[in-house]
Amino acid sequence: MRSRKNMRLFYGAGICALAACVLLPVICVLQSAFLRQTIFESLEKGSLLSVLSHLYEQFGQAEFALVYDAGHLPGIPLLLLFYLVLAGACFKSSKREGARRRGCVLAGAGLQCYAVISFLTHIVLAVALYYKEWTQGVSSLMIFRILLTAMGSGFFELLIISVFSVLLILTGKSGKYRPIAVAAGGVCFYRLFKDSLWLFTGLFDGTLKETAPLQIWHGVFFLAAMFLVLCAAVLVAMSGGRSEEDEEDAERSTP
Amino acid sequence: MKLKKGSYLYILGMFFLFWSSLFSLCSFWCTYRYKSVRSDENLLMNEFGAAFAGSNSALVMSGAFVAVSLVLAVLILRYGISTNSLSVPLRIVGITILPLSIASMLAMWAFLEQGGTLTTLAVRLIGAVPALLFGVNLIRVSLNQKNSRMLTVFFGAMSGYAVYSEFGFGQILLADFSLVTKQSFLGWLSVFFFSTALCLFFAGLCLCVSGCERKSKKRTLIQEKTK
Repeated sequence: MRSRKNMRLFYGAGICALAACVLLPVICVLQSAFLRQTIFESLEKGSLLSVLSHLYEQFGQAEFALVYDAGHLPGIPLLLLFYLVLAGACFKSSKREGARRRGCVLAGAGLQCYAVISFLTHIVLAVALYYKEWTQGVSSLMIFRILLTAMGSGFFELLIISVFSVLLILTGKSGKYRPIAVAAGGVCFYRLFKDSLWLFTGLFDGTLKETAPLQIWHGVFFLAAMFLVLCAAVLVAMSGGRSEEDEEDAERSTP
Repeated sequence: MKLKKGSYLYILGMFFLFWSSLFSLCSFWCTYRYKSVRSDENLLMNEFGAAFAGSNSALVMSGAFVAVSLVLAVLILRYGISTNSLSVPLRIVGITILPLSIASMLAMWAFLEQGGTLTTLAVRLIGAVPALLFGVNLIRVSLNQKNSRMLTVFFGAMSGYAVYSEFGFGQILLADFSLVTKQSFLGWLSVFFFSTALCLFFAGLCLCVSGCERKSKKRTLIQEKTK
């Protein structure tokens, strides 16, 4: 009974991963188009430094950052690759215990790579914003400002995604980390849910009237894809890895 | 809902539950002090947090939460030690959380300004939904109707994060301290302690649930056979 339930969860994870892989390239295309549009607009106004500053002004709004932040783009192709492999693993060998464990590690590794690359891009963008001051001399206050700017644009989301991914990898190794991994998944899920709610209600009540359609579509696709990615990761965590009780049961059932 | 043998998660959960009542007490004290000097604008928090900090609701809620968390913690500890089962206390916790989450939804509604947009309303109301689902799942888990232990932990963590992010005290990072008064900091502390208390309460419950055994028919059969 337990195994059948786990299998259903594992298949669910596969479907979510596959659906995410369909949406992720759309985000890349939309985001590239949006970035190109913004860069051309900025280039007409001034130098490369002003382009970067303008970019950060555009993207660095704390509330809306997760929706259309440039810092998230470089990590997405890697995420696509990992989740494509995960979807394959889910459908190919879901009956095997080892496949579920590998699924956990794979999902965790994908999210971890995405978080690290996106975090680095955020830092680079924040440094670019304070480039003029940076050349005049580095102070602790400036580093604090850079970190604060990076933090305001999705740093916290990346931090919790990073913690979740580490716990996912650990769940793949041993079942005792499973409850903590699921809890971390819950936190990530709520954060994303709140952002999507903000976007959709913003569309209805007219708060986003000034926003360009391309940005809105990008936000919608980004949130939908990340939702599916997180769904896949949480489902894999729920089904993957052997729990302590499973190990005990296996020991007892062997004569 | 039998406890696992030597479960360190349960012990950690108990610590969290007692700490939550302590933090709630700190919040009660800060709210009491801040109430007399409150100002409508507090740059350290968002609008909701500022409105909540010096209100009567904050005073009543933090005061009541000291008692509620302490009683529930003692109940869970007593049942855990004497019967090694958390079914009864978790059921009581679930039944307590359900009306409280509905009440907090209504309270949030009352705090909304007259010209509040659909966005603010939805974002505020959604904060209480995970707690509602957590309460329902706690009751289900305690009744052993279905094995939804992981789902309970999932919603518990969601609720913990929701209460932590709702009050907007993170705005302290963006505030200009030359414009902030000393009294504002007291108001910020009251909200910070209250949300920390709530967060620790949910985390403690999640840990207690994680420290319980999974209900399994196969497992009970094997145990019976070995006996």
